Amino acid sequence: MTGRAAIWMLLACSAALAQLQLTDSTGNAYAPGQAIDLGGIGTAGTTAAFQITNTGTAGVTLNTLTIQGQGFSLALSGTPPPALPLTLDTTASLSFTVTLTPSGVGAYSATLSINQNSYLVFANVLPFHIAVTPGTLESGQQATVSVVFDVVPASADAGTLEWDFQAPPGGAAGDMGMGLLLPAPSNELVPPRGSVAFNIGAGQNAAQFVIDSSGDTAASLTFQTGSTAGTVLFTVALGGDSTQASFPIAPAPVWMDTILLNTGPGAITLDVSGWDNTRSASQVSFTFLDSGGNILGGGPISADVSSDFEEYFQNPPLGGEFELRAAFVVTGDTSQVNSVTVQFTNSAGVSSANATIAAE
Amino acid sequence: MTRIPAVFCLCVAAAAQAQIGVPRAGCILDRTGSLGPVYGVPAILMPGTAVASGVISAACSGQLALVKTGSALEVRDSQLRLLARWPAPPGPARLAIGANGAAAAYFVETRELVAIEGALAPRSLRNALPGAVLAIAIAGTQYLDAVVSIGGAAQLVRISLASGAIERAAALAEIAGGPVMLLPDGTLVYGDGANIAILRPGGAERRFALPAPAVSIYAMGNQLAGIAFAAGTGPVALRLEPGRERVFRVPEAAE
Repeated sequence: MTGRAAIWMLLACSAALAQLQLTDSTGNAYAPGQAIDLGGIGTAGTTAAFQITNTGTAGVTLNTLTIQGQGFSLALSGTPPPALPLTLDTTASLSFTVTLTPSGVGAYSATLSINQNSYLVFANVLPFHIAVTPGTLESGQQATVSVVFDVVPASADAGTLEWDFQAPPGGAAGDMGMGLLLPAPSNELVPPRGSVAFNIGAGQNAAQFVIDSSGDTAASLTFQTGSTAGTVLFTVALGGDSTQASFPIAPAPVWMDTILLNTGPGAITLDVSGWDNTRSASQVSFTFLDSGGNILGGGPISADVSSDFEEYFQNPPLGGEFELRAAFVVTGDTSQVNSVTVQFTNSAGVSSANATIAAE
Repeated sequence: MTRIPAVFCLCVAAAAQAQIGVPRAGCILDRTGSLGPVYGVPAILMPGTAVASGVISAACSGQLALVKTGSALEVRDSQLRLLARWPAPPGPARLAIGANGAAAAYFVETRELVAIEGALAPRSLRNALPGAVLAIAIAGTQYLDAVVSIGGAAQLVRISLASGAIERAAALAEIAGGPVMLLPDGTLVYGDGANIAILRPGGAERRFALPAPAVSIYAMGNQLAGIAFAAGTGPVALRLEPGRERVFRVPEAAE
């Protein structure tokens, strides 16, 4: 090959590679040659999801997608997974996962190859991990967090657990219903960002959180997920090591926890308690029914509540929690009303709930 | 048939009067005797500032709160604002609030049972009940039910709210010697060691593990029971609606 031919070949490869964009599950994009840090992880290992997208204007053939390194494996997504080589049309993407199954604690690294391009993938396998129960969080929950040692330490040590509620970009923070619920004797709900020290004794497999100045400890901490969509991020620092675990709280349709329906002469009142973790409630409708399930009044009574909720959520004392009290003036026999269906709309969808007349 | 649409002809205008605020779950009585409001929906509650101290017993519903201090019986509204206060014997009381706003109190020390109607002074119903009264509940508009323990055996005693006469007594399934709460529909909530049990009138029972044996159970709010423990264990709440029962921790206000 002549020198000029080699130059042309290099240019041609660069043009093709530039069309394939590698991103991780959180949307972080990686330039060719860039390192991918899987972070500090426990000995159970980890799986990370990635996507290759053709961002160019012409199709690109993907010939090579491999990972080489002790403990690492790669799997294409799909049923059945596609075989290489394959052509990615413009804007098309291919998903795959990288799994690290460590044999013990320590540093691990591998080379991820995408056609002629390569990326350094590395992770630090630590003797401990952050355990949250339940593993999937949603608003309106109490959950627990602990630091579990997969490799029982031979000597005592001390570290910190930091926690941070992160609202989505453009989202609203300020949820006083979210935070760590300290054990007795405090029992306080501490705000959605902070840290707590822990000790780990030789031969123990769980960190003991120091919960007060008198030295009382607890092996796990309860936290409330509040009522705002976002991410709960825990970070453990121990010695020179640290690890993070993030738990998303997905945007959800309005949750109606309790509906109290009362009727009286000439009036119906409704109290709806719940939360809107998107703080975007816009429409509400009420459908009154008789004891036979027949709709009264000709159909749902709808109202645009977007400005009311927007005003309420300007500075909400309790995140997305709310109580809506609606009073209906009625000019006839309210004893016909047996139940109500309430329907809410917010940016995450539509939800509905029913309630019958409150017992006397 | 044609009346129905007319019945609701003003509804749309009325709905525009909707108010939005913070959900109020009820009240919390902490181990120091402070009583305060608690806001939010179950599992994500937030305590408010205490409004009363020296409280020995309390019961809260969506509309009213009954409060027993060392020397007084108080009626408070849903915001825990004082409505009425009367002298009362020292010591704890069993308290009950009915769905229609009626209320009752049983003073353990003097064994007196009183009915409370609005801001009127409490009306004495009985000067004594057989055995030890563990819990009371307003059962409709005419009766008050009491769980009493006689010689270690529990009975459900029905008492006329008009006359104070015992209408009937029936043996209850064995309940452990822990605290008891009685709901208007006859549901029993009782501590059994480090468990809490909900026994429905039909016999269905659900049990939940507690962090420690319960010391007291009180009406925290609408369909919510507050459970207190000895020092060293924080309070929890028990959701009581059938099918939605659950135990969760309740934060306390910073001291």
